[in-house]
Amino acid sequence: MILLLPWIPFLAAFLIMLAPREKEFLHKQIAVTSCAVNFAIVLWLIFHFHPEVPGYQFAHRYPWIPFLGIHYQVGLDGINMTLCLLHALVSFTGAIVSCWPKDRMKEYLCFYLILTGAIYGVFTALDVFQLYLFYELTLIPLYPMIVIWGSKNKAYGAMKLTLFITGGAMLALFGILILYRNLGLQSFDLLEMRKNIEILPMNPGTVHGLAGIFLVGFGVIASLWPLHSWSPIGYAAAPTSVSMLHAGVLKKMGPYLMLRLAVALLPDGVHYWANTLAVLSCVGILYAGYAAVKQQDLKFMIGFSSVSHMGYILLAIAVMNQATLSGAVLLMFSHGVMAATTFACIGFIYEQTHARGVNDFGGLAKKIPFISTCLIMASFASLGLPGFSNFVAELLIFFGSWSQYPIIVSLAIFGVFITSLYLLRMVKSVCYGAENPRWSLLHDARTIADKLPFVILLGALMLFGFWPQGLLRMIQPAVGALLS
Amino acid sequence: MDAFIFYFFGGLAAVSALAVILLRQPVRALLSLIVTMISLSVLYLSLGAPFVAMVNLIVYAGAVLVLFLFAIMLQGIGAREIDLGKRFHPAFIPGVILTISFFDFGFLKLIRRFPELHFQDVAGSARQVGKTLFTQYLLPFELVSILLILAILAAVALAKREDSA
Amino acid sequence: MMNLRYLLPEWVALGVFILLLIAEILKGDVKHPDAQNIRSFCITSLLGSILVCISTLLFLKKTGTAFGDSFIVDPLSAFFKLFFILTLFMMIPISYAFFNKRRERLETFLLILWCTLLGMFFLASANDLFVLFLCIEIITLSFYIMAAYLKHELPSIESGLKYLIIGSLASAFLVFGIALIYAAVGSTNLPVLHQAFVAHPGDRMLVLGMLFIIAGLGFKIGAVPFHLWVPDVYEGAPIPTVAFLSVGSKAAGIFVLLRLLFQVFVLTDSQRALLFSTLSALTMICGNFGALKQTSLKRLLGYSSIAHAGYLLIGFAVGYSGGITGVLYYLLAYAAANLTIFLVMAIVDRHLQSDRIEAYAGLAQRSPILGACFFIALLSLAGVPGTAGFFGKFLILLAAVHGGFLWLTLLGLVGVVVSLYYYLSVVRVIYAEEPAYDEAIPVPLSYRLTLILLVGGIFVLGLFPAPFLLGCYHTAFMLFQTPLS
Repeated sequence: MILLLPWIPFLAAFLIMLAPREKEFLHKQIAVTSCAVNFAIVLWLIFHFHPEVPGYQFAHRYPWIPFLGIHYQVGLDGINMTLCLLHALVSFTGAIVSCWPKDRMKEYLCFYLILTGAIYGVFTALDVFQLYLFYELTLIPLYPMIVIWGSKNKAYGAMKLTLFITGGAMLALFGILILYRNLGLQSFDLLEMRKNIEILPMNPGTVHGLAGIFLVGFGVIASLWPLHSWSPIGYAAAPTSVSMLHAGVLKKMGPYLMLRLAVALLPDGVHYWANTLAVLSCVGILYAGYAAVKQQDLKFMIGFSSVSHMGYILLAIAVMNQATLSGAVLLMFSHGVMAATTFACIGFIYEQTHARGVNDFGGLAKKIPFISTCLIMASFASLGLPGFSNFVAELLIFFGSWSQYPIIVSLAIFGVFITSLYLLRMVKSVCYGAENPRWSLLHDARTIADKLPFVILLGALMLFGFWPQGLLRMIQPAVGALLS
Repeated sequence: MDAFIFYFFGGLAAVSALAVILLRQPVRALLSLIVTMISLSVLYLSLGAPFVAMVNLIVYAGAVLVLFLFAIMLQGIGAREIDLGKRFHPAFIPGVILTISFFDFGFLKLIRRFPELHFQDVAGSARQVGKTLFTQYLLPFELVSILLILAILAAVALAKREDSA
Repeated sequence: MMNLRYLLPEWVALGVFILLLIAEILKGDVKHPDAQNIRSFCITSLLGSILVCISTLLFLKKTGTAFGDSFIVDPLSAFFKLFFILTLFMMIPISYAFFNKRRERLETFLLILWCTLLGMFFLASANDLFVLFLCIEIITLSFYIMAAYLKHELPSIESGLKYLIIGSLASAFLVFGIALIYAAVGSTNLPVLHQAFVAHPGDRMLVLGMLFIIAGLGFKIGAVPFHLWVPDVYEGAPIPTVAFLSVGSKAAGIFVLLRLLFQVFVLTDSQRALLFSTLSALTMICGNFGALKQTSLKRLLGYSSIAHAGYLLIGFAVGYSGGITGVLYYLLAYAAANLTIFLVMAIVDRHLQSDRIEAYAGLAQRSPILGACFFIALLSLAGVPGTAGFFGKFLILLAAVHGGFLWLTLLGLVGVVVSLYYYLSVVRVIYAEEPAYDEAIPVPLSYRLTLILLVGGIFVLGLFPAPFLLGCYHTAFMLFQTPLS
């Protein structure tokens, strides 16, 4: 079952390619159905997931390139189970959002499905080569999607995004190759590497260097300051469902891969860089937050906001204990869902008005109550309001990091304050206040198809906000296994 | 003696090769080309390859003569009759006779004084070349045929004149 | 002694060539070009190349010599012969697409292609410097002709002339090197030369001769500092010529370098590493950064091919089976991607009438299949996972890291990022920009099949590399066994 996860979207993309161009409805059906099927599979996997069982569940292993010790290996533990759920949610709702009218729908859906499949590939892979392959594969559909269907500054934004993330990926590949050589195992199997890393210790210089390489390489996509500048521009330029997927899921691949490769295999190295990482993440939180305050464009604002939130996750990785890492994974989930919701709301408004300035709107709470409510709820989630899972996650991170970096945690909490500043201000100017006569024709989400994405996303946020244990019971054993 | 021949004729070959490129008039350039070929043939001779030397002369001189023709055709000299009496410098015919005599009676006699300059049936003779070409170097010999076909195809593809329309 | 049966692929190739030549002489009519004739000519060539391919496959595992030790059959030669014939097979649709309905004759072009193939086949089996040089000359001469083939268009003639002059210079280097070595050793037979190199490692004439030969071969591959001709010649020559030049000629150069460097010349690991890593670094930098500002697609592909030569040279710097496996696999991947691109270019050339990248605007809208194939091929050249190009680069960089060439690996990875910039710029033009004319570009079934074959090859090499990897490794491994009987 788990094996199908990446391949169903690929198959669907192939089917869409073959289908004739005019049958747009058929394309949309195929896309949404395949994402729905994947969603169902993920839900099935969650219900059959036993957190108390150690190791990876639903594991499969097939030889792929035996000559180099590469296998096609999949498996789920608490961490990537959570992230698969995140991706299932965001990709499904994103698929519905992708069906909002645009031209050249066929190519768009093809690229979208390839992107979705590749991300599933990253989250289920347990072989480093396979992991890297799917990781770089996700970059590819992004470029055409942003460059064709994007908005302001799309050529520049798309290229910057792709080049930055590729640069990081190349650095990570460098690290992987050195790791392969130094371990001398002739295998890319992550589990084998984990087992053998204690038996075959590498010299500390190499460990520190490798950890640094992985942290920087994956830090680019995790928008580690100062390598974050691709993010706001990229998101602003991207079409709505791409922003949803990217801010929601793709960014989380950065910390995920850090966990899998740096924390699991090279914990001493991560300890070595912990102070630097913590400081950089703190700077990122504050800098991005401050930058968000100054933005006039909603998408830029949320882009910087996502950079800021990733700072919490990176701080958690720097501290590297049970509490913070659990909080990090939970925050990955919550922030992902929240960012997706926000971009969906903004996108909905943008579709009709082609405007997204902070001051362009007003009184939308009366005009489009449903969407405004969603926007307000998402903003509150971003703030870390109790009732949403972001709160629990951030709490875990702060409590876990306090003993080690009290100053940084205080600054990070200040970052929460800055977040509330720009978000509440945004809510005020967009949803309340005088109505802007330009948008008298703005209509709300009417059909079920319109409302469904928001309901699902916000529902998930609230469900796990009131029942964080639902996710934490999966995450915590996995984090424990990671750290031992 | 060997060194003298090498440096003299090698230098002559280099100088005349340069002259081919640098001279402005095509006919003079071609004449320098002939001098280059003759110098190279002498060098081949001094290396003990009489067959190659002679073949070099025959082929290249023949080729250069053809080029001569083309040069003249391209120049499109308004062919005009020049009076027979005015064609040659008065000193030309005596000069030719003197040169030939010098060569036959002077130079050759000089050379016969140095027996080491005689070449009899050494490795570069026609017999030896033929033998090696058909035994040791048979494969390259056959491969040259492909080169020749290529040359013909090149002529057909690039140089053949097409009738308009 | 003669062992002529080892020349079976060459006999078949010669037979097909003579058949085509006679057909052209008897039936070829310049004044009234007959489409039917041209088509049957092409189909005969295709069938002929399949025959040659089959006969080559029979020799994959055999070793032996013929023609008194000047002709050798071994795994390396078998690999490259297979490579050459597959390239030729793909060249026929590219030539047909380009020359169809042009005033220049397709049949003569195909005959010249076959001559080149014969030269390449004998090159692959050359066991003698003489034969080697002659075959290189055959190949180069054909390229002079093919580059200047569009004799009514100035850029083509100019590129042919440039290639002629630079190529002659390269040949001069080669001959000089060969002369020095012959003067030192007294024989042109490769095994004998190897003995001489082993016996006198530091001999000045030998080393000098070796360096001159490497310089001459550097021209063929397009490595720095012998790369100056590449962008100019690529820009002016007709598309099929550039396709064959970028794939076939480069492979031929790499082959000769492999044969000579690892089976004849004797270099210590550090000497080889120093020489080739310098060359490789310079080449990668020059190629990748040179391509950034190009507006002509063929010129861009020229610089890109320089960059790819740089990656191949990394494999040479590393040496051993690992590095050479990477080189061989990389060649396969590079060939698949480049041939796809040139096939697309040949098909659309008539519609676009221009080489500038802007002319390709909106190609994906005018023909989705062409746009998609172009896209995938560009991704393969950039080295995106899932495609053949990635696995080739992965193998080479893996070998480099194993060999300790960390800076070179980093440079290669930076090169990937830079190359992604210019490849993606082309992708943007194809996908995002509006086409100048809206009419769809029709793609007949035969071209579709060829494109699917090529793109399928890119995916298979990228996702299921195991069998090809083993083949390349076997060939590379045999290279380092006792060479040449």
